[in-house]
Amino acid sequence: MKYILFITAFIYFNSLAYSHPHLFIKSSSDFLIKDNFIKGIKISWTWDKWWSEDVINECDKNNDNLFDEKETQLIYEDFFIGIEDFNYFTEITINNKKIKIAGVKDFKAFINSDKIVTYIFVIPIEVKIEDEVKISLAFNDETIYTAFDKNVVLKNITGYAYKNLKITNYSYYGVKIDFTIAKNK
Amino acid sequence: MKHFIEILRFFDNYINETLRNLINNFDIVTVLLLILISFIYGILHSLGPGHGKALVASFFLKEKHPVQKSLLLAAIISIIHTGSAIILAILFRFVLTGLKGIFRIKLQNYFITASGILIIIIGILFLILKIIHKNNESIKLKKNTNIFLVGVSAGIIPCPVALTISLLTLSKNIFIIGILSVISISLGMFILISLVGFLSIILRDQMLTLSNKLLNKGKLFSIIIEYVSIILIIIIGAFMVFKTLL
Repeated sequence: MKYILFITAFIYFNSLAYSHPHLFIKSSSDFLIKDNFIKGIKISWTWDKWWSEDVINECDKNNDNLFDEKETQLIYEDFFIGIEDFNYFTEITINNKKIKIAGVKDFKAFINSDKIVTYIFVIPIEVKIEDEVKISLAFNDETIYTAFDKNVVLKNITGYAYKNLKITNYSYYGVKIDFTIAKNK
Repeated sequence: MKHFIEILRFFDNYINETLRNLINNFDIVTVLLLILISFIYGILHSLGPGHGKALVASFFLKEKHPVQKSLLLAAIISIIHTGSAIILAILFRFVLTGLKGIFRIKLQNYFITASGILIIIIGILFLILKIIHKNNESIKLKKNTNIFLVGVSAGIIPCPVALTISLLTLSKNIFIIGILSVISISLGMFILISLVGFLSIILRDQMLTLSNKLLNKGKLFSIIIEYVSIILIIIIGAFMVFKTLL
């Protein structure tokens, strides 16, 4: 019996490979639709207190709890664009076809009343909505440094609806949302 | 897993908020609470990948050691893991001031690669020594050299939490409090890694006793465990390098 206990404890300690992220992000997404085309995915990332603290200390140079154009550029260069090496922690599949993320645009950063920093940026894409579009959107950091909250918010789109929504864990600490965008009838 | 991450996030936020409160309002009770929470956090966060547990377990399965050696190895890993983070924080603050943000995350990856390479080298060294001295009992390097080698290779990755706490407290002139928090986290890690080492030592002894009792093949089993453990050490290192280079 004691062998079983020891072996079990051994396996437990060595196979429990969870919980090592050091940063946490809450995400939300919005789809920019014009003339029946999805023109871009607008992503919002709300960071945790540690990262927010670092960003504010380093980039809010005039301590006014706002990021002006210069400060936003500083955040973009030092606290954001490096993740392009990790595909912006984002994977997009549309109608079962993986979309290559060439870059992002309209990057902005905000500080809320709790001194938490939020990034907003747009990933440009060009997809026609025939009748409905099947989308898979995953947020994941393969370095397991960052964990994504499972409660991803999809913002309402005027004239369209989300269907067949399914949210699952992805890789170690990522999150994946599968859904369909269809025109409201 | 989701609940465990939520618990970890709770501790992260608590430590952050407590440090922020201490910036303007020093209070000894709050400092003591911070030390306690940091200690618990040290245990919890080292349950995750990246703290050398698999390596420690494989090492103590490989060769016979008294249980006290698990304390030595755990101490080496914990001290180097958090100590390197403190040194890095001082460097970032006063010397390498241009390195910030995402680069610090990338730096973590480089350290993981370096650690993985070191572990592979050590594993191959153990294998060579074992093959050369195959008729002898498990060959150990001089005194505690092998323990130091494994400890350094596992601990060399700077602890991101310790780094973040050190950076914050350095910038807000409460570095001593930051050090206390980091030492507590290190102690928590030390406890957990010691336990892994201790269990591995006991497991090795139990497995050999069992194989002797059932099959009368204790010596053969000991050799098999040793080779399997060495290969596991090499695989751990290779996995670390492979993951970061992907």
